[in-house]
Amino acid sequence: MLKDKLVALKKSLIEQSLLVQKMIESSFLGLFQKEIKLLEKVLELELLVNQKEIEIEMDCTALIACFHPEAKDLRLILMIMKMNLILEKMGNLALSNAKSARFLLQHPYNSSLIDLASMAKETINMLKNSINAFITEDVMLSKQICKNDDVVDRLNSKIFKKLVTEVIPTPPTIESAFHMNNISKNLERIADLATNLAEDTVFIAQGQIFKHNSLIKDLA
Amino acid sequence: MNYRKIKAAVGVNILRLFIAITSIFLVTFLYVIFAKGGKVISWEFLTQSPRRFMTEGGIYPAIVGTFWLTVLSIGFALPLGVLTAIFLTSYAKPAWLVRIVRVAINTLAGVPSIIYGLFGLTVFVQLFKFDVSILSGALTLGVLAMPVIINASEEAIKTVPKDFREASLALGATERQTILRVILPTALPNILTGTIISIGRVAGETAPILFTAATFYTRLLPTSALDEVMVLPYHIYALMTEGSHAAKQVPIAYGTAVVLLGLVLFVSAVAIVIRYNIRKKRKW
Amino acid sequence: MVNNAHITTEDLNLWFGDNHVLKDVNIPVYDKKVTALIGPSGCGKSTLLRCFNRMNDLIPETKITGKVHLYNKNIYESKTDVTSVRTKVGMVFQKPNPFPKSIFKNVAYGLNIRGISKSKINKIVEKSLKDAWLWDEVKDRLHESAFSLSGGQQQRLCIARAMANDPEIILLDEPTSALDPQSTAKIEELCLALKDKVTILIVTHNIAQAGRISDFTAFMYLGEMVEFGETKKMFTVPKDKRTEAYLSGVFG
Repeated sequence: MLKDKLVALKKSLIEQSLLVQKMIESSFLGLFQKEIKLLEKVLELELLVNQKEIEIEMDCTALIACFHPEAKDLRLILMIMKMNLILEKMGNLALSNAKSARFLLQHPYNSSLIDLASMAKETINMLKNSINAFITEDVMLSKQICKNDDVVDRLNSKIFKKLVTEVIPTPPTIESAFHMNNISKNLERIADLATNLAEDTVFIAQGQIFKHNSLIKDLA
Repeated sequence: MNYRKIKAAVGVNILRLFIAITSIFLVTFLYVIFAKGGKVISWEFLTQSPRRFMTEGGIYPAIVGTFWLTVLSIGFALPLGVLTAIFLTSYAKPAWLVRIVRVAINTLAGVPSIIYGLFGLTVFVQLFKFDVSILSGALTLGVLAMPVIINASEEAIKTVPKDFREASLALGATERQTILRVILPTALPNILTGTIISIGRVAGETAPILFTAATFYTRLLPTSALDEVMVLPYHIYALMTEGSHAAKQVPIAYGTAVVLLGLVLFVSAVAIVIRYNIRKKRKW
Repeated sequence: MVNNAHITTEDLNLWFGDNHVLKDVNIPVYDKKVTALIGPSGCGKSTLLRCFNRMNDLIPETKITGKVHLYNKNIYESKTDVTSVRTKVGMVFQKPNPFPKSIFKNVAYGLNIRGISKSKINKIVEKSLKDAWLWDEVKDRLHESAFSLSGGQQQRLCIARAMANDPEIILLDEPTSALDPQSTAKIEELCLALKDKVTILIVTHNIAQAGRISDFTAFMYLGEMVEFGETKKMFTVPKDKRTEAYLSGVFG
């Protein structure tokens, strides 16, 4: 009864995460490969993601109302509700990136995109890993993801500093610079949210709150 | 000492006293009968007809007579009694008929047995023209036994859990199917108990068969239901009051009593064994 | 979701003597779904259940107005053959009540009373016991007394017995309240499996049970049908304040 429904719910969340992952990838590849069609795809996906977010939330509520789940079942449903929110936020950030990327395609910025590319790659990896960790309830992997957040943070700082030093001598490019920065900032935010996903997986698997790279409280 | 303990001890011992008194009566009763009648018992006694004014020979005809009267009267009373009980418990309509039946049963249960005898004489012997015969006697005794059987059957049917009836009806059975397939089979052991009690009563009654079936002496064994017949209880009475050779006949009377007791106990034992076997298969 | 309701009540009212027990009840029972009747003690849910197979007829001084439709037929029409209605509507009671007969004879009872041939009976008995998840446990002792089974097994036997008649709908009157938790869980899962074969209407005083197994729920209070709807919607956002109060345990 409940078990089957939880399996279906988990599957739903994974599908949502794949949609969001595609949004992030498309938003960046559209910029990198100068493909405006990819950016338009992000807009389409956003509608799907929003609809699915509501479905997942209603399913979670119904399961709690009808089944009074306890222990791990309860943790799973509550965390899926949180992760649902997180994924929707990631989707919004990916959409913001797509809009910035569209601007940049029309007003290119003369700076190398290499750092941004690395950042994108690393962020998408973090998201993929956090989803895999969720599927298999891999606590070790989850904790690892939280540690990798630093890499993305550093790249974000680097890009910011570079933009600041480069943009001052060439004012007309300031808007493009802002958009570049926006993309970078959003990617950093996405990476951060990916670590939240990982923390939630630890709670599901072990009932321990793992935040800011350490165990806060032992609920056992 | 504790006042309550004393009261309890006194109570228990009074009960023991009464049980002892009752047991003494029973034991004395059996002893007297068996002591005075035991020496007359022999194979000849049981299988032969009486000879020479009942001073010699046996009481075989009386045994046969009592046996048939008992079997036929129960055979008549049992189905009628059970059907009446089914009517009272399951159908119970119309209400006026139910009231009449109940009044009838309660009244019949209290009627003195000699009046049954007169009733049997008037109705079966004279009105139906069955004459003094096993048939008249069996019918009379049957009417006597009915109240007991009806009451026992009614109680037996009421004891069957309502669940069974509900379950049967819910599966689409009619009331009749429910009674035949579920209720009666379940009530059977307790119905048999009522029957056992009736057997004892019927075998030993003298007054109802006085004018309807019994005769003091007949040479031949009964060949049909319309023959008159010798019976054990009447034989005892006759020997004790009208016999001409008291010295030899009194022991024979006691011997007859022993046989009558034995017969009743035997038939009851058979019925008990049957009931035991049914209960064993039941397991609930 | 397209649902068909071929079993419904229409303005159903019932009195036990002067006591107005069911008031203008209109309820759809959807095909091949589990519908639960919930409500506090004395609200009339068992009485309503028993209207579907006319078992209330057994209680004296019962008066009924309104209709109960069973696939195009109003079963309260005069001249209705009640025994044939009861063959199409199976019932399982609160306390398991197998007959004092063998396991086989219990399941075959409904078939025997209709004079079904022996060869068919064997097959139907096996199928019914399999449907009730009891076959493996009893296949080697079909002729032993039904009372040699445990409480949970006896209840499954009663379910098999009802299934043997191939009914349109099975009525369950608090079927697990006399059972231990494991047997209860087994019967709940059995209901979920059975609903593909037969419509199920279940009375339960256990709200969580209704949440676990039912597709639709009807909440009754003081003889009225207060609310009816999809279980997950009703349990999340009840429309009536009384339903809300009952579900949150304010009374019951």
